[in-house]
Amino acid sequence: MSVLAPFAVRRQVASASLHIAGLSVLAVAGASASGLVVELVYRDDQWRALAASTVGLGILGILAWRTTSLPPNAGGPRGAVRAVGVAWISISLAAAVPFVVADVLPWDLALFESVSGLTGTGSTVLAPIEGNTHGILFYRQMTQWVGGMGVVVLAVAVLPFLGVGGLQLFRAESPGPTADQLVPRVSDTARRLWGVYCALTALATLVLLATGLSLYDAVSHAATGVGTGGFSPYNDSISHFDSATVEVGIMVAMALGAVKFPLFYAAFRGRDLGAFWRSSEFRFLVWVVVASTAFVTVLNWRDGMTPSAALRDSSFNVVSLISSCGFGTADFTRWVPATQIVLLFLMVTGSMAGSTSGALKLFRVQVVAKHAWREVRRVRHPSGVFPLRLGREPVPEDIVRSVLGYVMFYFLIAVAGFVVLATLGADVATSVGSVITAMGGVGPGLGDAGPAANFLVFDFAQRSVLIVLMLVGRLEIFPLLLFLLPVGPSLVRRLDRVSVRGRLRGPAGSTGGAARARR
Amino acid sequence: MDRNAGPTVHEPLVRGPERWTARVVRAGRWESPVGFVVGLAILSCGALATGSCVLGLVTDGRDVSQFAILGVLWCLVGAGLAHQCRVPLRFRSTTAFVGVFAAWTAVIVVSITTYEFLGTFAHWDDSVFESVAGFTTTATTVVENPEAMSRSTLFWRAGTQWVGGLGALLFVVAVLPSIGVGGLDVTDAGQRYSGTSLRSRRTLLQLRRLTLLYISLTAAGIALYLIGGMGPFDAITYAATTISTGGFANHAGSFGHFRSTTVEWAGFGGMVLGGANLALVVRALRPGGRGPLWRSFELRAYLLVIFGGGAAVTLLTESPDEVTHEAIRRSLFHVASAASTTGHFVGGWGDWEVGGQMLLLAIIGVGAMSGSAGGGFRLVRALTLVGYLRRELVLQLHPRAVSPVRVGRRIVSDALVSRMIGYQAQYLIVAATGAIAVAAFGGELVTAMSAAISAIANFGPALGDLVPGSGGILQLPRPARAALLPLMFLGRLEIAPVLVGAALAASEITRRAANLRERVQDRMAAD
Repeated sequence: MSVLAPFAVRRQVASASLHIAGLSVLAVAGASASGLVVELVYRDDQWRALAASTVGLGILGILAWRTTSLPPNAGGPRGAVRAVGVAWISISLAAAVPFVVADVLPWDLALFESVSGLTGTGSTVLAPIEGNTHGILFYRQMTQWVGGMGVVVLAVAVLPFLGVGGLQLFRAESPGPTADQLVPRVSDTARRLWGVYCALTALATLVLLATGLSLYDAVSHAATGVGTGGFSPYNDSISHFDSATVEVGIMVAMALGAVKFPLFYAAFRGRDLGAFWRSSEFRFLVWVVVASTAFVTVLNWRDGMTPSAALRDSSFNVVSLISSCGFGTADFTRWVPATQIVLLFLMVTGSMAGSTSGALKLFRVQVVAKHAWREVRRVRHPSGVFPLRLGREPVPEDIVRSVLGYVMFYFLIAVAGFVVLATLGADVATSVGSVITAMGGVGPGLGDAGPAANFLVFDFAQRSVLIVLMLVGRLEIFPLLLFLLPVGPSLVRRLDRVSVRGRLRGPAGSTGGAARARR
Repeated sequence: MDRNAGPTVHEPLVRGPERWTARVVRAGRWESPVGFVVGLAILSCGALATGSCVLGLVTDGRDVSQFAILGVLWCLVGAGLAHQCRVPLRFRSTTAFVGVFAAWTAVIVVSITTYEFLGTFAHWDDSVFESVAGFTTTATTVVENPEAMSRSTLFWRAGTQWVGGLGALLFVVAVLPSIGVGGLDVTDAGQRYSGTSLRSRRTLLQLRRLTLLYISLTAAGIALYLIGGMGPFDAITYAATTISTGGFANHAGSFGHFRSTTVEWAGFGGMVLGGANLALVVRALRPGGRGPLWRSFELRAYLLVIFGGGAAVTLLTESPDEVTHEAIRRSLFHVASAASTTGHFVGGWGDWEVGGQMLLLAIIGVGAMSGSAGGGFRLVRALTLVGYLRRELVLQLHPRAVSPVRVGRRIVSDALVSRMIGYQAQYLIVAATGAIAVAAFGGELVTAMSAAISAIANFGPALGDLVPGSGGILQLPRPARAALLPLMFLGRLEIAPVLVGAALAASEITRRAANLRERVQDRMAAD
């Protein structure tokens, strides 16, 4: 920490939220700096704006970071959840700054673009994209890369010691129901995850270079492919290249981002590729991808595409949507309805937990499906005991409980989103598609918001709803819900009071009805 | 001893009318509860066909002889089968599912045969569709112009829904909770888990009470419609399809045909009753029961859904200064139709704002109260899930908290919550599969998704091509229509019982077939 000695401030406020938020804003400043470098290399004319934002965000971040200190244990579970919420709201605002300063977008569109970037969604309001300078576009790609693995995980990686609070911070942000510890210390885990992420991005860059892309294109698409964001510096996304080879390369990048990162670590550590196949979730992923590709290909083929074109477009879009990346090569809103429904479900399921992909995650889908089946079996054997297993591993009941709760929350918020967006004037397909795509962090939706469309089709109110949904989906609901609802603690007090009152009143237990009936 | 306490208490059935019941139930030659239930179901179809015959005689006189033949036939078959079968004192809970599955299949087959015998439809698959929609109380019909049908056929068609609604009511209130399935026994009226005591005196009493209540509610509905200004025939058939939450209508325009405010309000009242928890009403009417009706959390929620939903739909559809009495009435009518999953309509929602349509679809998906003939996910489950989500929020902040899930003030056990979530997952999986199937056979995107939800909720009309008054289900290709049939069937019988019942029935049939083959082979070898 001696490098940071000049920034040491004597009087510090204990605030996990500001501390983490400051560090996160620094990450955005880093992204902006990378954009500046590209801008300078290409000698474009927006370098002043990028330099100003880099410096401004940097100062802001350092101020917030160095004038605060972490309270012990990062403020406990509630503090951790709040810190993640604060961090994400501040980086959403921070990442909009370069767009505004460079006068690319007005502030509300800039906020949409920055949230869409950081949450790895990839829905854009830039029109046209290609009119902008290289640096701005590269910065836009990098927001997705930074947001993909998560800024709080990055903060945990660089912070010296966090104790239990670190795990809670890590858990609150990292995607998936369980945060797997690679090594005993949380910051070491976070560092290794970022290491894997960087290595995968480098690998994807090499693959894309091999398919014939320029260095700029390769890095841009590797970042948003492995980060499963889906921004592209071109109006036509991947169809800009019009090359099957490039599409295969991009599919590899997206596939890397869709697989649980701890599996890469385990495979690398143990020099054992079997680690992948031993994961039941990975096998499920492969199965889903193969099955839906086959289904979509057949339907497209029967609809009049040539078999090879059907396979090419179908496989690319299936991988793109299940990894919640959202790169586009074809306008699937013109395909037959059945394919669109399948693609919509892929947007809901997402890929493996612990990857950069969004949406529900296949682990949760498996748990829900197995729970549904075990309740069918319980009808056959009412007193049976049915442990829920994935592969050979039994899933602990408290994980099952929280997974089911999460899926229901997701479902409820999605339905509320459909109604709200439809009320604000979108048609049925558009509202369903865009809510699902925003919550899943995918990018293209259905109806008017398809891959060929721009999210400018939505007005200010609709875009605001989508911004909230993107953040809710990326942070897996609870951090933002507890942050947005009339501030966590008071809500919880109210919730607790309800349960205490109820306990005092009625006789406990489900036999209360019979008791009352006899009375 | 407390009569209600033990899970497997079987008092002898000796008092009053139960003596007769006991004799009938024990009289048969073969020990087969499934056969007995199937016999009763076919017998009810026979009664229905006889009723159609009588009604035809007093009205337009068409199709009378056919219905006379069918009435005698189904009565003989049903009574014969029920008479030949004996219900043992104890049987496995899963046998009940086989019985329910077989009974529904039997009445559907009976109905298909009836339509084919009458020659009502040009294609046999239309008979299948109309029969399944009828007995699952779904309001999708392949009849383009019901006015042209004979009175007796219309009565039969409405009667299938009435019988289906009664069957569903008895199934949900008496069979499901007694074996602890689906979590519906959380309701204020539900029983406790009581093993396999399907033949306990309590269950039989409850079945009888519910049937009587259902009949008297239908009578009340008829009176309501007569006062509202319908003719006697329309009053009877519309009351039958309203109280059963079925939704078949004698006119292509459903309630819109009458162009009468009073009829629409009467329809609103009838649908609200049809979707309400009848077991709750039984409890309220029981001597000494001090009306737990108003204390029921579910009932309050049900009324909130109807009136809140009606208000929201009105505001979404009309601008605030243009709200008319008519708009409010129409909104309430359609929301009540959705909340009770009936399917009657006045003019439909094709011209509504999209937000109102989505809200309506959400209300359809949630569905009616438990303990009613209505379908859908059912309100009490939805309320329990809200309680579950509340607990999830608490657990996010206090991971070690002990916080029970509640519906109103009642605590719901974790086992029941687990069943409900399981049911929700099954519901979603089935609906999603159905949506893909409908779309794969040629439905449009919005049509397919909304049709799947509407079919599994046993509602009927939907969005897209299926908004009322747009030609309805006939616009879908035949395979796409067929894809909706399993959804209706599964939705009506709460998914898991159907699967288990069907699987057991299949294995039983295979076993008996194998036995038979062995016996035949043995005999041949002996010869």
